[in-house]
Amino acid sequence: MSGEQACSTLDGNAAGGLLREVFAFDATEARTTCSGCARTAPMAELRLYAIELGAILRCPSCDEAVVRIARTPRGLWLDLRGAATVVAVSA
Amino acid sequence: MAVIEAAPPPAGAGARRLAWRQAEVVERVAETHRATTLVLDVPGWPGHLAGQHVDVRLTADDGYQAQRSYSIASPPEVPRLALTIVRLERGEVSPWLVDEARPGDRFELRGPIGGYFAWSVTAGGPLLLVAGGSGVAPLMAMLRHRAASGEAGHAVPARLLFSSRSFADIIYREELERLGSAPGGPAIVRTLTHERPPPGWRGHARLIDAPMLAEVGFPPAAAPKVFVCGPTPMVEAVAEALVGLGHEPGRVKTERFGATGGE
Repeated sequence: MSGEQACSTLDGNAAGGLLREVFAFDATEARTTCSGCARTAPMAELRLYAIELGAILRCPSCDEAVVRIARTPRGLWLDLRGAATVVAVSA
Repeated sequence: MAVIEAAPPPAGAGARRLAWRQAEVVERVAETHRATTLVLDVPGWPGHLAGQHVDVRLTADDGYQAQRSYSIASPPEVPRLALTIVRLERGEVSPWLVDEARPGDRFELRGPIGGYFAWSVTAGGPLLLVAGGSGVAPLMAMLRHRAASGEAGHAVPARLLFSSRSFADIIYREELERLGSAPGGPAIVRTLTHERPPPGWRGHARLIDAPMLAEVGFPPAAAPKVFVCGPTPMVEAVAEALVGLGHEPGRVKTERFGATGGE
């Protein structure tokens, strides 16, 4: 993997480092249910947009923004309204 | 779920779960005309699984930072990390890593990252790896890990289907030939997509498609663990074809690398 372009279609794998700043578990493996279409898949399989200032992870089926993370001067901003549930895989 | 806003953690031991570390270049290996492997010494590296990646952060003199993700190509058994990087035109990070970085140079790196696209011999097989271009890097870590695991590794049937643009673009070509011809080595099938193969070529000469996957891959009944890594269109076509052949979607793990347009 070499995510070189700001808006190329990568996937949740490439956001793994940022996700580790947010979640206490490995979110790439976490089964995440889209609130738009109820598709459930590991966060690694969501489509990644705009890694530079944060990340938007979209559902590959319905394009819902499932996970939104932004870096702000005050810290990280996390919006999970597009995720019905996130289930961490136990180690 | 809702919106959460969190202040950054206080600096200090244990506050950060994933620390930025200093990596020092110890060796450069030219893989192809566009791809270079950097071998890195990373003090305090906690170890990794084959298939995981790192974030690389470069800081300019004026403080501007650019960050990218690169798969680890070296196996867990080797203390030094190897990153294989393809130079992307107009890229902010890869041109420096490929063209400028020299032994002794340092940059920041954090990892290992990602347990989803990871494999170890203990997870078993059969193991089906499908690579496009530099997407072979994390899969190479898996094959190197398998080879370093002796009998336990040989006990896992493994196949690699590897698509490259041209013969000259085949990353790890000689090492893959050695691995493939070694006793207990993986089966390696190559295809060239953009250039006529050289005389004597033993491989395919087209994009990876369903018939090729049916021929090379294990049957769905064998329930292989499948890892697909490459450019987005290739990954999506391969994953769709594998599911169409009857492989369970949950066993087909994908990783897309972003080399759209400019590559």
